[in-house]
Amino acid sequence: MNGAIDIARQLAAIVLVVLAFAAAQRIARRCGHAPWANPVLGAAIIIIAVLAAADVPIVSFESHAAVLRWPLGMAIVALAAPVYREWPLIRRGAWRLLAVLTGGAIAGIATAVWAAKWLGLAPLLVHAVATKSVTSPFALAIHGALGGPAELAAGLSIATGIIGAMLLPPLLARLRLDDPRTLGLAVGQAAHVVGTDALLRRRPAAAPFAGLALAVAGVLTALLLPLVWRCLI
Amino acid sequence: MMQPLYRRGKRLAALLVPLMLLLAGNALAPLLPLRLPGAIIGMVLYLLALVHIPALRATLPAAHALIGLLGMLIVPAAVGLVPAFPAISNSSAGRLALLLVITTLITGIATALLAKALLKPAGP
Repeated sequence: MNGAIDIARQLAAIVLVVLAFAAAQRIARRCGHAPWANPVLGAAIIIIAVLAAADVPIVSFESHAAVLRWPLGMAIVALAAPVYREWPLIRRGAWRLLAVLTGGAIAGIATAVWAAKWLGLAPLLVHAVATKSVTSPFALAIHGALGGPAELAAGLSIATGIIGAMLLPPLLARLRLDDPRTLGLAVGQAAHVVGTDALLRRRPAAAPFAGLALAVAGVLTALLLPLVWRCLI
Repeated sequence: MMQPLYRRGKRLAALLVPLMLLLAGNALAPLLPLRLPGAIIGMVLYLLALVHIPALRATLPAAHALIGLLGMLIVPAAVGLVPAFPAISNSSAGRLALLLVITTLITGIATALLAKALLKPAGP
């Protein structure tokens, strides 16, 4: 009996996610995919409002929506497809690409940690923001291994992704740093999956580079962070 | 094997490849010295498979369909931001927001400038 209720709740969570995202996407399309009309943020706001109206605790929604982690994992595996499409280009400049992404990963960790200390944030937050530019599954894995605040870090990682997806493409366009490769690498590095998803809709040519950047940046951060972990606070 | 299956329009069968590679990645994850998410190990395996096993390239349309769902699938994580709030005291919320915006922009610009400086102009 309990099992049946659980399955019904999982189903309800999935339906809620699908409908909220469809609605948010419609709104985004109406607004001509304006950067501020980010469907991930829009859908999250709709869901939070629906849950509040129905008096369902967010934690309960989260535990039932966790079934979506399987298709999410599959979609991340599938990011190899656009990378494969750009494979000849990537192979030609592999070392330079690696240098760019290493520099980006160091910038991502260093600016976050330095700013957190400068602003006088608690040590817990210093650790949590160190992984803000890697996608949340990475943040969970890295903090799991290092004993950091995994859930908090995953939340900050999503927030970072939404901020980057909304602000980076127009800013880079203004700075004339928006050829597909440069834009893709920068957005994938700084705003990981959320940024990559935004590019898929707004600048498809840049998306393979974003997918590449988010994967490589995640691996590099997982390599670099343990080395500096103890010096962070 | 995949090719005739796929030609009969069975995109579902093609979805099995990312699923199997995700399972393989999850199984490999605890064996590696470095903690990596199983999905990323699966992604590396899929890239290697696409490069080396031409038959698997028939799964590319299914993979692109999956990627189209990516935005929807990260929505629960964005909702999960709210329960994470209590860990952030009111006094530091503003500073934290400032930090996220500024450092994300700096990271993006730094990566873009590095790409501009180090990479050759793409293609003809």
